[in-house]
Amino acid sequence: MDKDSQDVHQVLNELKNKFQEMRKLISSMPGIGVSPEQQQQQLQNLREQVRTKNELLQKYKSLCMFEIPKE
Amino acid sequence: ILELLIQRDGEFQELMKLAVDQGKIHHEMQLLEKVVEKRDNDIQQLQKQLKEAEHILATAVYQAKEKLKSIEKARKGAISSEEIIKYAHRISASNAVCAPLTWVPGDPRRPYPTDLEMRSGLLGQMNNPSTNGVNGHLPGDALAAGRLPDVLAPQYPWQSSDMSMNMLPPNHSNDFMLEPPGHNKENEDDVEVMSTDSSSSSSDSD
Repeated sequence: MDKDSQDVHQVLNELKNKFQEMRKLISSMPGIGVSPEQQQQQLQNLREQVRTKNELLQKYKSLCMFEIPKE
Repeated sequence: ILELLIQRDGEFQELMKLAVDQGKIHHEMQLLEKVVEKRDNDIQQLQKQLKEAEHILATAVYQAKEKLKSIEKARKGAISSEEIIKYAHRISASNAVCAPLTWVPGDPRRPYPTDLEMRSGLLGQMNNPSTNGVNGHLPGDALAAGRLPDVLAPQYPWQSSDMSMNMLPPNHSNDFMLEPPGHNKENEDDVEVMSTDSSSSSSDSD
């Protein structure tokens, strides 16, 4: 019986250590600082920014710089 | 307890999947941020180039407008090339821009105005109003040329023998101003007289 309780204690200690390691691992995982909804929102914002900037670049490149002013 | 642990383990597994998904999304966001940063740099560079191009074009347009103005001005006051050539003859006849072709060491003539010429000019008259009488005198070059032997006297191809006999009017200092078109006949006569100034001076200085 004592031997069993010692084994249980040992297993519990190992489990406890695993939990500790897991906590450390979780704190170092990227991208879990915000909720999934907020993250999706940020992702949409970034995609929108990229789209807008691409459009702006295309606009600049296709800009007609030689418009003859009418006097 | 075991069931509780198994249930909690299932929850952990789901949370781990969610965390892995969020990690992937985070990675995608980082890539997008890099793209946004690159686009920002491109846009700034393009804006800078556009500004430079605008500046260059504005300068070119300004210069072109100035040139058009001067062209328009030149059209309004059109002067024939013959007039300009006559005026050039007038200037060159006084040896004011270059030495005479026949100049040799010892020749007192100079390509620049001498003291006497300066005194007989408008500036000299302004400083010394009492010496207005000097105005009618011949320039120093002409005087100096008069003392030269005939060998040193310049001979120009357009010069004729009867031209050298023409006398300059005494008060002729203002004739260097370009006269408006319409007096071609008079100007032509003046120019011919002036063009022979340096050569005819040998006869009229004495």
